[in-house]
Amino acid sequence: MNKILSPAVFYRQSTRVLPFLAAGLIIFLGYGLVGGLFFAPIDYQQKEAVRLMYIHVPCAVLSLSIYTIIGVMSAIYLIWSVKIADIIAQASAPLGASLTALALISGSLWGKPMWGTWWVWDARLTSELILLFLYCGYIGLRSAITDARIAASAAAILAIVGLIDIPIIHYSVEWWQTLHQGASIFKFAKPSIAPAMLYPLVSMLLGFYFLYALILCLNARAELLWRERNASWVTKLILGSGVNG
Amino acid sequence: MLEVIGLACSRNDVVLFSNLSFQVAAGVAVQLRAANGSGKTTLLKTIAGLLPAAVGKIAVHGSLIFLGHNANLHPTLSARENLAFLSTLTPSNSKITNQQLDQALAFCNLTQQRNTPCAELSAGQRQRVNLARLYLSAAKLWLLDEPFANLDQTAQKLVLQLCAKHLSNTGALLVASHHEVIMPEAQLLDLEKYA
Amino acid sequence: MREVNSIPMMVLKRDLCIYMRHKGEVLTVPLFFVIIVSLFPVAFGPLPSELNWLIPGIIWIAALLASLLAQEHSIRTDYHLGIFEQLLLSDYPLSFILFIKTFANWLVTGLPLVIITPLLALSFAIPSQTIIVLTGSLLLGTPLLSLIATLGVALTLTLPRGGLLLSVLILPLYMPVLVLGTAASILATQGLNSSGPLALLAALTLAAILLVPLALSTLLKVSVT
Repeated sequence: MNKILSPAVFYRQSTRVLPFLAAGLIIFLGYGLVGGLFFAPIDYQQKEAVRLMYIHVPCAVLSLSIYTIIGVMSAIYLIWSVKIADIIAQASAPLGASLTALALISGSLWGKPMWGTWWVWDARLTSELILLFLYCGYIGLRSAITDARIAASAAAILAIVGLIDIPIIHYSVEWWQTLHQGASIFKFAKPSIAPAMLYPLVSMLLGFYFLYALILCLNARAELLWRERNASWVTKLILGSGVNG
Repeated sequence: MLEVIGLACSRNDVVLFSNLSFQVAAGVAVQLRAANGSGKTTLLKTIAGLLPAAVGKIAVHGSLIFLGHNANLHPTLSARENLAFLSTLTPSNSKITNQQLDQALAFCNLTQQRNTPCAELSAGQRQRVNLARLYLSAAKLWLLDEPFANLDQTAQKLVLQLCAKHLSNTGALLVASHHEVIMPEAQLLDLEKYA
Repeated sequence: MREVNSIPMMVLKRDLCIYMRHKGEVLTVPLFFVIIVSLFPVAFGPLPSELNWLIPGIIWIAALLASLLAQEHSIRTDYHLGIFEQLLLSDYPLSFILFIKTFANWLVTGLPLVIITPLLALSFAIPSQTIIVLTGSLLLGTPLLSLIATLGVALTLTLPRGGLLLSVLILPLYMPVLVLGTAASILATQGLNSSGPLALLAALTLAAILLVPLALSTLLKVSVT
């Protein structure tokens, strides 16, 4: 098991995989953007504003997926001391944070034509905002602690606690607001999904996942090379004789 | 008592020493001579089990006590209170009585200061409270990090007295010190040779 | 042979002794709590009775902020003194010791908040049913707040000025506790059953008592350098 997860192997495998990731990214994102932004039908109620869905939904889904991945990787790191897991968690965080911010911004832009306000403190948006705080806390903690080992363990525990926290926050806020406000509930009214809208949406979602995978690989490889800079395979790589053939 | 085989330690990606092997048998004292920053604290902590040993093996037979740089003394508590607390954390032959605490403090010439908050003690006095811990300890292996720091001649003699008694009780001793005070009959281990 | 059972008692006695000798510092926590609450009538003037239902939330927020400050003293000093190294060497399960230390800190900083709350709430003329549920929710919730705050301190132990980062890390984790505590009180005000949120609060606190000391222990073991 340790052989498969060794840094050198990860590096070699990711080199092979990169072109496919880039291709997938271009294909899916391309189809999704063109199909969604230009060809998909507009919603009779929201008109062109519905096109923000093609950005907002993938961003929101990814923001949560990435945090879940960070949480799972953190648990793997803490339990089995797998270095790669820690590197993946570290490399995923900046993109996760950016996508969360983008989800909030696109959600706000989508909300203005819908409800007339830029922001509303409903359960979903509030949870997304808290997710952004959790990401920032994670990134901040990692960068503030100088010792790599302590930073990895502390960030891992923070990520796991945060992951447990997110559903609790979401459901408690949602429960309390439905109870408290009664009839006046704000919701993202999902437009009825016609195939012409569904396919670009799913494509955008896949495209974003490829984007994540690509950026993850690039970041992880860079972080890996830095951490293993004293190892012999890195020296060989830099001197041009390839990664263990 | 203590066996170290092929040990390597690094700190923040800098290798401090590698391929270190040595033994400390019962009744033997080993003095680690090394400059500051060369890894003697890291070595002691790794042997104590506080830091993981990435490469190599460490075997400790019997109980140990580790006295680090830090005097572990809370400033608000008195010498006696600190000693009472710290003594429960290290192996001893029986439950420590107040009488034994006073005895230990008397040995270290701290009888007058026993109820003084440690914030008001000098560095040398605080170090002597640490020595009192050794007096009360029943641990077989002593790992001491700079035990002579801040001590005057009289107090240094106390340390040597304690160590001699410990060795004659078949204890083992690993002392890290950049001081010139070399213990009589101690084997020297130069850490810089393994850097 | 060491009296192993006496180690947690020694830790408890030592911590309480230290807090008693720093009475001034310890009393600032309930004082801070009362000051925060009083900021609201200062800013807005006495609230009209229709807005009285806001008071439990205000008291809860003040409790969050006070708990954040309180935990600074529970493990940071001992970490810098190297006490945890000695505790690790003693072979006694560190997680239980950390629970004891958090408990001692809660006794001295969290419990006073629970005791002061009814008095504070009375000054706002809110119904007695609400006061009872509010105090109960704080009794259940402040240990949880203490545990989470200790976790935050443990995460930022090695940082010289961890204060602000600590708040950013901890407050998102505090939010569910806030929701549940406030919800229980406001439901009581409306005459509704508040056992749901209270039960969930109790469950979270129990889970934290079991799990947070383990996380703290992991963090402290790694923070030895």
